[in-house]
Amino acid sequence: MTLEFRVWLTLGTCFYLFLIIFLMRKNRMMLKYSLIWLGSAFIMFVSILFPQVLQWVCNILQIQSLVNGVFLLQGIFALLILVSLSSIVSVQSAHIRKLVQTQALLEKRVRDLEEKAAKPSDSEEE
Amino acid sequence: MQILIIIPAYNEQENIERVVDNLVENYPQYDYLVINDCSKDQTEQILTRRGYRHLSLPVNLGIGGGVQTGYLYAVQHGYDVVIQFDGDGQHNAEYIADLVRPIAQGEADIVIGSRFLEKEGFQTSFLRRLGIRILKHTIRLCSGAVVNDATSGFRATNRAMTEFYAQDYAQDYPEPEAITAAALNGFRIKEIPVIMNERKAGVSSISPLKSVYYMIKVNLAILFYRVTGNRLKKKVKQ
Repeated sequence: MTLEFRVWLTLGTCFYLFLIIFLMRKNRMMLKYSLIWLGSAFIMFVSILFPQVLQWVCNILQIQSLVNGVFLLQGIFALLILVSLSSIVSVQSAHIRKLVQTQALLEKRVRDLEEKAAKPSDSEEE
Repeated sequence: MQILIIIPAYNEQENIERVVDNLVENYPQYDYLVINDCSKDQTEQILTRRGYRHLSLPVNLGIGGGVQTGYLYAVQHGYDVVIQFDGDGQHNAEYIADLVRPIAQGEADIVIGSRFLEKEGFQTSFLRRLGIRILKHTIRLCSGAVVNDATSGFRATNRAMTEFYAQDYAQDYPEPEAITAAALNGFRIKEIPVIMNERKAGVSSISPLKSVYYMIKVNLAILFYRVTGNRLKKKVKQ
């Protein structure tokens, strides 16, 4: 991994980290959902600062170039994040379903109560 | 014995009046509740105008979410038996008593109205029958339950089964998965012969193209339920 590549990678990771922190500060990303992003930034920094760690991983996986190792890492992060997003969407979908059902049940209850409340007044008018 | 008929309805403006009027006129001993699953046609207006007992979902949840809302309502209001009854006129209300009987006699927790036991009435297309046969074998392999008409939406549940489904009910194309869940959680399943009608108006939610997706999804869901061992009965009992 050349020095230039490490510099560019550092800048890219800094920008990425800045973006995540910016979104968190603006309350547009919750901490619990940002953990996996922050984790990936941390591992990127470790790879840049200590390329020997990445070299060790590349040796195990028989990857000749460190740059390819970086791409592999990014691919793994992207997959992890996508899986976690699918999980989040599924949980939220279940929550939305529950909310919709509760709302519909409440709406029916309110309608029934309104009908019940309206009935005595109707007979009074008669 | 308090019995509630839940009628899920999505875009059933051409059928819903006939279905509900028949129940109101001929079977007043049963309570009913139409669950309007955010229909885009005039279903909601008809339900309101005719003063039918109904519940309106503000977002389309699909058949599973709609039926589960009915189960939640039944649990909240303490019904003993819940009948699932299609809003498209395919089911005959005269069989409701037959569905309830095994539950009243304590023989079953869920009773399914089957078109294929006596092979009378509307039998659906060959391809669908083939699909249902495949589902029958998948369910038998995964749960041990033998159900000939796994896609039948004409079914009755007792209180324990209703409570279970109120907590956990499959969402997309739920009927076969719901049977698997019932069998794997130790509920007793019984099938009785019924005669069903052909849909008189409107369009089925499962188009020919969707049926391929349906078969893959439902078979996978049954297998997944078996593998994950998603058991809820104990939780419900607590």
